[in-house]
Amino acid sequence: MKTVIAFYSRSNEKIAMSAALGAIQERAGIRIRRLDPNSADANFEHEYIAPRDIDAEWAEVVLIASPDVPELRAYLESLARLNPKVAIVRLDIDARPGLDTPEAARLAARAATANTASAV
Amino acid sequence: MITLRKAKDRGHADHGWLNTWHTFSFASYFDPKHMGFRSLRVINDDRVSPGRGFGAHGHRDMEIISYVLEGQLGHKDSMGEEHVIGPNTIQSMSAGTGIVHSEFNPSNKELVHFLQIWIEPAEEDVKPSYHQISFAPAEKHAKWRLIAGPHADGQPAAIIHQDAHVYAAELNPGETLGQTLAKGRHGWLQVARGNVTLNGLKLEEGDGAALSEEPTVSLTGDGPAGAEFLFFDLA
Repeated sequence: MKTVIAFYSRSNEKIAMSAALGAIQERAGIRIRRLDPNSADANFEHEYIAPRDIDAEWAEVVLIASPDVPELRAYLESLARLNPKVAIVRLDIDARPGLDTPEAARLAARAATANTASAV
Repeated sequence: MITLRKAKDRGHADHGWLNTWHTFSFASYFDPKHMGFRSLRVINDDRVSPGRGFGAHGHRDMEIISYVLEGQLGHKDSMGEEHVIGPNTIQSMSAGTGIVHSEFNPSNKELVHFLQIWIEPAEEDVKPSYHQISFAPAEKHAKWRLIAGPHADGQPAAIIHQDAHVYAAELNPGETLGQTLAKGRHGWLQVARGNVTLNGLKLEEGDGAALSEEPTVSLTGDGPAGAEFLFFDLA
């Protein structure tokens, strides 16, 4: 299963990494992409690259950890244009304090990957 | 029997920030005649520009070893490990059930040159782990230094989940070093730097050699600067 994990910023990195692990645990091939084009963190750009059209065309599942920002809306529009059949899952980045959000993201990713694989 | 894998015959890609040579099929380089050797699946000879690197990506069920020849290599992973290694430090990851990591050149001036090695594990779904071992250069001069294996051998070594022993050594010109391969074992020699003679055959930097039914391995440092090389003793 070809899975893209797209997240916005360092604030969502932990959830995105948990989701990436969940997808890998389901034996998915993964690509991790950042949506924030500009970051004060100089290393951020080196650790994560921006989404490319070929990623959208490749993906069967896209897991998103991002607030509702213009970059996310632009990304969703590009997905609809490049790969209208791709399955999109929004990860919960606003979980209530005390809940194990990264673990929830990992489990959500596993479920999304497994369910999409069985549906394909 | 010794089968040479000449450096110039490897897969090659120059992405600008990454200049890489693939001993075996990898990424867009595919050659069905070169898919690996025994459990040895990947030897990539990578040169990464200052400040650049491999963005976060995932691995599963693979033993991944990094051996730095020049410069420094940064590593960050989903287990919380964050390190910078240089020559004479071995980094090994057992990807197991899954791991995400990034690798980068932390220097803004120097290139990093390293070998990345993938060995297929003997079992799947192991718990992911990270090992990092440093040793003195003298420990590999004119002698074999075990750097990775299923268990340490009197010296600290990176532990991998496979019956494969990885040794590093270097020789000055004219110096010799021997190795034996037990019956049923296979070997792979990878020349990381310089020139070496293997059982009478001349090898250059980047060359590899597969050894089967070769009970005796004899190496001599050649050229102006000798050689540094890795030897894999494989099931």
